[in-house]
Amino acid sequence: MTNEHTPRWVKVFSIVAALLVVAFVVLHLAGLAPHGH
Amino acid sequence: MGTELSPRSRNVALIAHVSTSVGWFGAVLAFLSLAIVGLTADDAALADAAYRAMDVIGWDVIVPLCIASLVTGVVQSLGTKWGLVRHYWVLFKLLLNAFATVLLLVHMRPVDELARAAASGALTADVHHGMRVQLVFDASAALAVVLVANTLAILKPRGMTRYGRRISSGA
Repeated sequence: MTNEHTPRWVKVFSIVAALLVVAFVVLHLAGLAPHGH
Repeated sequence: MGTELSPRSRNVALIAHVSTSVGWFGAVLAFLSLAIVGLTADDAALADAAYRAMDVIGWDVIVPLCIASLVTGVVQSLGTKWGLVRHYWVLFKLLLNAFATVLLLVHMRPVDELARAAASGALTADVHHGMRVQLVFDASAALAVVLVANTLAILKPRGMTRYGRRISSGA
C-alpha cells in the first residue's frame, strides 16, 4: 500500500542520502575526513 | 495555497533559476579544476595563482550563484503549482541546495586561508597539504550535489509528499 504512495526512487534517494550523511559524520568524528582547519 | 506568479513572472523566475543553477555548476567545475591545479602543480607560482583565483571565483561567483539559485528556486516553487513541499523532487532539491549553501559558506574558510598564504608567499606543500586535498574533495562533492539537483529539476520524477497528496485531494 505504502509503495503506491512513496515511489521507489524516493526510498533509494533517502537511503543513499542517509548513508552519505552518516559516513560524513563518522569520518569527521573519527578525524579521517580530509581537513586542514 | 500561496499566490501564483503571472505567466511573465513565472518565465522570468524560471530563466533566473535555470541560469543561476547551470552557472553554479560551471563555476564549481572551474573551482575544482583550479583546486586540482593547486594540489598537483610543480610550479609554485602556478599553485599560488590557482588559490588566489579560487578565492575570487568562490566569493564573487559561486557564493552569489548558490544563494541566487536557492532564492529563485524557492520563489519559483512557491509561485507555481509545484509548491515547496508538495513534490518529493522539489523537496529534495531544496534540501540539497540548502545543505550545499551552508557547506559552501563553512568551507570557504580554507580557501581564504590558502589565498592569503599564496599572496604572502607562505604557501607550503607540507603545511597546507590537508587543506589542498580538502578543497579537491569539497569541490568534487559540491559538483555531485549540484549535478543531482539539476538532474532532479530536469527529470522531475513523480511522487507527491503526504502533504502534497492531501492538498491535491482538496482536504
